Amino acid sequence: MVVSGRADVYGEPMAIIETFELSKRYGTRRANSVLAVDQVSIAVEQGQVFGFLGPNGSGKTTTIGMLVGIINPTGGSFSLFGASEPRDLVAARARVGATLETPNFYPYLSGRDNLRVTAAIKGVGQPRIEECLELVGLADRAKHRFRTYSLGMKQRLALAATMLNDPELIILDEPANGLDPQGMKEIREIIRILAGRGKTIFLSSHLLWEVERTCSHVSIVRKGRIVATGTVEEVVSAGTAALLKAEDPDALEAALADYPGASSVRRLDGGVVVALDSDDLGTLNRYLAGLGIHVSHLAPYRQSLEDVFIDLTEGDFDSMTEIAS
Amino acid sequence: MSGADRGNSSPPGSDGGSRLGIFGTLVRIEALKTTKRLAFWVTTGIFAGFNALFVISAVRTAIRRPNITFALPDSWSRILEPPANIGPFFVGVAMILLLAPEFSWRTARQNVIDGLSKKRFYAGKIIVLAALAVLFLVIPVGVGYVATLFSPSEGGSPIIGPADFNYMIAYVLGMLLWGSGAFMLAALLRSSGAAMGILFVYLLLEQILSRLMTELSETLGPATDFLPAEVQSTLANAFLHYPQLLAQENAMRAEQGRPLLEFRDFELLAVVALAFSAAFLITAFLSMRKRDL
Ligand SMILES: Nc1ncnc2c1ncn2[C@@H]1O[C@H](COP(=O)(O)OP(=O)(O)OP(=O)(O)O)[C@@H](O)[C@H]1O
Ligand SMILES: [Mg+2]
Repeated sequence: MVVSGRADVYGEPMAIIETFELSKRYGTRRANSVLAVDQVSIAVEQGQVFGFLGPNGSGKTTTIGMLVGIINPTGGSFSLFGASEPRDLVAARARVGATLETPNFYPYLSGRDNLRVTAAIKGVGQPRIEECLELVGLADRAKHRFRTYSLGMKQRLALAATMLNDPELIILDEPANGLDPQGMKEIREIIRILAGRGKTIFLSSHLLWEVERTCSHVSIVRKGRIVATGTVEEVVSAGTAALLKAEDPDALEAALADYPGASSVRRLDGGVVVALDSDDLGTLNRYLAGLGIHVSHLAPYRQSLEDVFIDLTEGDFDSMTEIAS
Repeated sequence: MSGADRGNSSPPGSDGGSRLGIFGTLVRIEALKTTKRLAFWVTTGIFAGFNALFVISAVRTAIRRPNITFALPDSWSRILEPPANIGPFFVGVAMILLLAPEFSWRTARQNVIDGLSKKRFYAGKIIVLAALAVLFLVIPVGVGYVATLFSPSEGGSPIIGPADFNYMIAYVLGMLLWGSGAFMLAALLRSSGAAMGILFVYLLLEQILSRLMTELSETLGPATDFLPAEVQSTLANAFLHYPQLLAQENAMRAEQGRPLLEFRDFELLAVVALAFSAAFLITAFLSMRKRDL
C-alpha cells in the first residue's frame, strides 16, 4: 500500500504540514489590531511528533486554527498533505484529527451521542465509537451528558473524537490541559503508540517537559514568530551556556549581565548560568578576570529545553512575576 | 500501515461522497443534534398545544352551536389562520435555538475541524430551516384534520381545495421569511439571547419605521406594504386567499361605512417574501464565510 503524503512524485519527502510566512492579524483597525501570528514558516514531516511550544498568547491556537480551517489567514499560505486549494483542503482535512483549545461538544448530548455527531461528519461507524470510548477510559460514563463531565473527562472525550477516523495527522492543542498526572501519562502513552504506527502528531504546549518527553521536533514561538526550530536535540544544543561559580555570586551575576556576549543570566543554586552567543569561554574568563572576579568553576552547561525556552521567550513573563511580588 | 486505510477512504463528509450521500449525512447530523434538544421540543410543544387549544374550542363550538360548523374543506381557513400568524415567529425562535448556540458552544468550530466545511455546516442549517417549515405546517394541518373528526359538522369532498393550498404556501413563505431572518440574526450575532431579543423587538421597530415612512413621503408610504413583517402578516391573512370571505367582510364594512379591505397580489407578495428570505440567507452565508469561527 502506498502511503500518500510520504513522498511526492520526485521522491522527496513531502511535508504533511507546511506553512509559508503564515500570518494572522485580528481586527481590521490598525490601532487596536493584534498580529497574533507573524510570518510563521514551518514544515512537519511524516512520522514526526512536532511540538509547538510557546508562552500564553504567543499564537499557537491561532496557527492551529488556520491549519484546521476555522480562522482565515491574513497573509502567507499553508498546505496539508500537499493540498493548498480550499477544495483540496476539505478533502485533506478528512485525514486529520484535531482539537482546539477547550473541548467543544453539545452540552445536552451524552458523550456517546457527541461522538455520534463527530462520527457522522467523519463517516465512521458505531463500533469505532465504542473502541475510542474504551481507549480513553470513558466507556462507563458515555451515557451521561457532556455537561456533567469533569474537565479531564472532557479532554478525554476530545481525544476520543480526534481519533475516531484513525487520522494520519493528529493535531492537539494543549492536550494535557486539565488532566491529572495519570491522565497526562496516558496521553503520552497514546501519543507514543500513535507515533509508533507512523502517525504524524502536531501538538502545542506551554509545558516544556511534556514536549521534551514526547516530541521529536520542536518549534518555539514567541509573540507570533518562530524563534527556534529543529529536533529537540538541536534546539537544546543550539544555545551555548556556561555554569560559573565564584566567591561573590552577586558580583559575578552583575558582571555577567554586562557581558556583551551574554543573552541571559540566571542564578542556579551554587552558581550562575549564562547563555552565550558563542562558545568562546576563554574570552569570558578574561573578561571576568579583567573585572577582578576570579571564578572557581567555569564549564559548559547543558541546558534543558526549559532553559532554552525561558531564554528565548524572556520578557513575556515579567508581568506575572510583577503581580506575584 | 493498516490503520491509515480508514483515514484514506472518503467519508461522506468529504468531497468524495455523492451529493445524496452528503445530503443524507447532513440530515443525520442535524437530526442527532435536534431531536435530543429539550428547548426544541418545548418550542414545538407550545406551538402544537396552541394549535390544539384552538381547534378543540372550534369543535366544542360546533357541538354546542350547530350553525357554526367545523368541517373540511370549509374550515381550512379557520384551521390555518392562527398558525399562519404565529407559526413564522415560532420557526424564527426555533431557528435561533438551533443555530446560535453552535457558536457559543463552539460546536460549529468543532464541526468544521472534524471535516465539515463551512459551506456544508451552512447547508445543514438550511436543511433545518426547511424541516422546521415542514414540521410547523404538518402540525396544524394534522391537528386540525384530527379535530374535524370529532366535530359533528358535515364535511364535503374533496377535503381540500386550491385556495387552501395557496394559504398553506403563503404560510410556508411566512415561515421561510421569519426563519431566514432569524437565521441571519443568529449567524451575525452568534448569541441566542441577542438574536432572540432583536427578533422580538423587530416587530415594534418595523411599526415605527412604517409610520415614519408614511409620514415622511407620499411615495414611501405604499412601500411599507413590502416591509418583511408586513408582507408576512398579509400573507397570513385569510382574506387574501378566500375571495368569498373577503367579499362578505367588505359587504359588512360597506354597510357600516368602514373602509374596504384591499390586498396586493399574492404572487407579488410571494416574490417579495422569497427575495427577502434569499437576501437574509445570502447575508448569513457571506458573514459565515468571511468570519473566523
Ligand atoms: N478572536 C480574537 N480576536 C482578537 N484577538 C485574538 C483572538 N484570538 C486570539 N487573539 C489574540 O491573538 C494572540 C494569540 O492568541 P492565541 O490564542 O493564538 O495564543 P496561544 O499561544 O494559543 O496562547 P495560550 O497558551 O494562552 O493558549 C493573543 O494576543 C490573543 O489575545
Ligand atoms: Mg491556545
